[in-house]
Amino acid sequence: MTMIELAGLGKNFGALWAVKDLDLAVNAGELFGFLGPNGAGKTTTIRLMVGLLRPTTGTAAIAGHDIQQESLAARRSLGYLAQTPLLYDRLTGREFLRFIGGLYDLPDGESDARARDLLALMELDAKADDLIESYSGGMRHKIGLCAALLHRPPVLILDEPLVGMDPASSRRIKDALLGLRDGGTTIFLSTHMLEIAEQLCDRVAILDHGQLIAVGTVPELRAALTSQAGASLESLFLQLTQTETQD
Amino acid sequence: MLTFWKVVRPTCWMLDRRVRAIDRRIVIGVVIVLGLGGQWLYGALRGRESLLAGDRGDAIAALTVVFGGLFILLLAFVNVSSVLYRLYLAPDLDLLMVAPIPRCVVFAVKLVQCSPGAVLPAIPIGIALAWFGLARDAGWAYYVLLALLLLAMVVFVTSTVMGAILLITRTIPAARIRTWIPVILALVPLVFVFGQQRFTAWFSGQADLHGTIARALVDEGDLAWIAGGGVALAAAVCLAAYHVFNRAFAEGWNRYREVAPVPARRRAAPAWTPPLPARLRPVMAKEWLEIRRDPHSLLNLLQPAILVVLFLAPLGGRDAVDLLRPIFFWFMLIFVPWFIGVAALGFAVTAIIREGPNLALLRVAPTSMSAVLRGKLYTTWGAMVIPWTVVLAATGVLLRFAWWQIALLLAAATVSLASMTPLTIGLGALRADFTARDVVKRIPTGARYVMIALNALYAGWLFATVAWLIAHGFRESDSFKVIEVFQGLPPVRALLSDAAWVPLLLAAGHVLVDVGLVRLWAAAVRRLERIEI
Repeated sequence: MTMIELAGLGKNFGALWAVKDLDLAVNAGELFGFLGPNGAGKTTTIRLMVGLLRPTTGTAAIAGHDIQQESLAARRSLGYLAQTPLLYDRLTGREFLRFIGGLYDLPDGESDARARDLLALMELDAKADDLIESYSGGMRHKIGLCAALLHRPPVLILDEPLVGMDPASSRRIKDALLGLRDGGTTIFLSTHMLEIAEQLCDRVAILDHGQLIAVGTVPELRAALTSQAGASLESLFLQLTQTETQD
Repeated sequence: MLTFWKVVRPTCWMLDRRVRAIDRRIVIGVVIVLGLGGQWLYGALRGRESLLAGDRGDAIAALTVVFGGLFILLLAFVNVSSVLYRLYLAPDLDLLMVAPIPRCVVFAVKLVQCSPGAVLPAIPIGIALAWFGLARDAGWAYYVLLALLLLAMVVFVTSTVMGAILLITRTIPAARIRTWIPVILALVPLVFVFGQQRFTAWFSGQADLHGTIARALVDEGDLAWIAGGGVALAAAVCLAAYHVFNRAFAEGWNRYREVAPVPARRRAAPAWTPPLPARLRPVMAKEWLEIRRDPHSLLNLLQPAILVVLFLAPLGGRDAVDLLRPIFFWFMLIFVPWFIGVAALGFAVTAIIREGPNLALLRVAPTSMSAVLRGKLYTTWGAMVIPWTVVLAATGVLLRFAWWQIALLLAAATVSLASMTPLTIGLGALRADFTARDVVKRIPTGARYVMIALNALYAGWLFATVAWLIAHGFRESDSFKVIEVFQGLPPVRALLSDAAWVPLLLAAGHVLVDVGLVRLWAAAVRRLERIEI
């Protein structure tokens, strides 16, 4: 079943097309990596997918619901972590998660129980009653991730979720993402960290200048682009994006 | 000097870009209005120099100098949050502190950035003293020395406030400063207001002193000494502030930015939760927590009490209250709706602009923007209506108003809040730039002025409605006698008349406001549902 479907998706800002003619389908239970150099249009694509931007052309559908036409149903199905986590500094971590639970219609008791588990998973339980304004960058990402996971969405859209994480936290989150994927959650992961994409993702897509230049598993890309058997995703990425730039 | 210019230059570029972005016709219009306004002001002042002749002129000039200085100091303290921000949290600090720039340049840049709070009140004081110069046929040296004196005042006051903040930040724990210093320093006006009463009473009677100050102002030699003394004093205080800056800033900066974790007080889950609609509950709970933890919002809620204390404190004995009660009632009836609108402007708009980029979080969640806005409306309205009604009812009882007077005051306050809160939230949602980094810049200045104008208009309409009710429902009261005094004025005559069109017009005005609010609200919801962030 296709959980994320982008069809002819495009967005222009004046003369600049940030994203153009994007066609992409991500299946249920897939961990999908979304890669691209700075300014390639990754964040714009994600904002189109979650409904924060209106597409100039095409459509984006989450769990079969068009994000513009059936916005509420689509939003119920997705969890989103922005590149800079969206948090309320004057709430504590626990209060923030209860607020998020309320927005997703979770009863307080259930929301609190899930929050407790997530805070423990992210090792934030000791800081759960501190105001978010006192959290470090990594902790802010973790609480943002807790918020995205709280309502157990079938589709997770994560924009650079591992930025600012220490190695231990990074490892724990990677394990958690794999666990979610195995449980059937569809994860759309935008990242700069190619080794993470290589380790975790079932398939990857590479975006450059707003256009999709490659989609497939890492071995498929390797087979298509080079005769080197052990070529890394980094060398494939550089080969693809530099060819694009030269073109 | 060159380094200073290099640091300040980007601000000039930004300003230049902002001015260039404004429609040419608006710029030309503003220039014409300012030109004509300046000419009108000059003509108006030039023709009325006689007002500043003799002892009265001496007293006005002396009072302007002395109270002008105090006023600049007062406003500088009122503006202390902005100074605190400029000194310790402004985004340029990371660059300034790391770049190979002499500390004196960083200090000079901060001095300039912190000075607007003192410059703005200096402008009307300068105009008043220039008028005095015109009236006394002062030579050009008077105006030059006056400008120098005002500049010295601005530097003195800004340096004093900066020095005080630098010392406080160095000595008091950062978390405590961030929470309470803005509140304490915002209460400074109260100290000023009460502190100046005795001084004003004493100073007003000192005709000789007024004469001495006035003569010193127009005597170029004396004024040169005063201006020189002012410049020397400003330089000394500025140097002292620089010394404190050199010694204490870096440490204070680190401490202020790296606030230790603040555990929020944990409370047991309440046994009873208010029966709020499930859709609104999370937003209302979040809004209330943010209000409770924001010192500025708390201060806004304290405003009714501060206002009433300011109002009641100078009354003195019971006889004065008995004599002036009808006037007090009207005074409160005029100012309460207007002031409530101003308070709503500060409080309710904050509920919108505080959201900033976090609006994206709400947009992605399966909740409607109508529920978000309604949650904000009910929380801010509830938080404001309770202190206002309690304080007004207590004041009414204290001043021994009749029951209907208290009821009318409470009704005026409640209705005013019920209209101005949705108006400010709606307009705020319609015009806010949620992506702006600086919270204050999230709402355009034009929108603020529109809100102020609509508030004044609505307060006037509400006042007229209550006046009509009193004129037709309480003719035997003292309050009616007060309006009768003004029956020579056409609007008052209309309110006192029995013409049927007057209540119809008043009611039509309120219906128009309600219809406008409904449409504004719908437009605000539509914008939030569709805004691209």
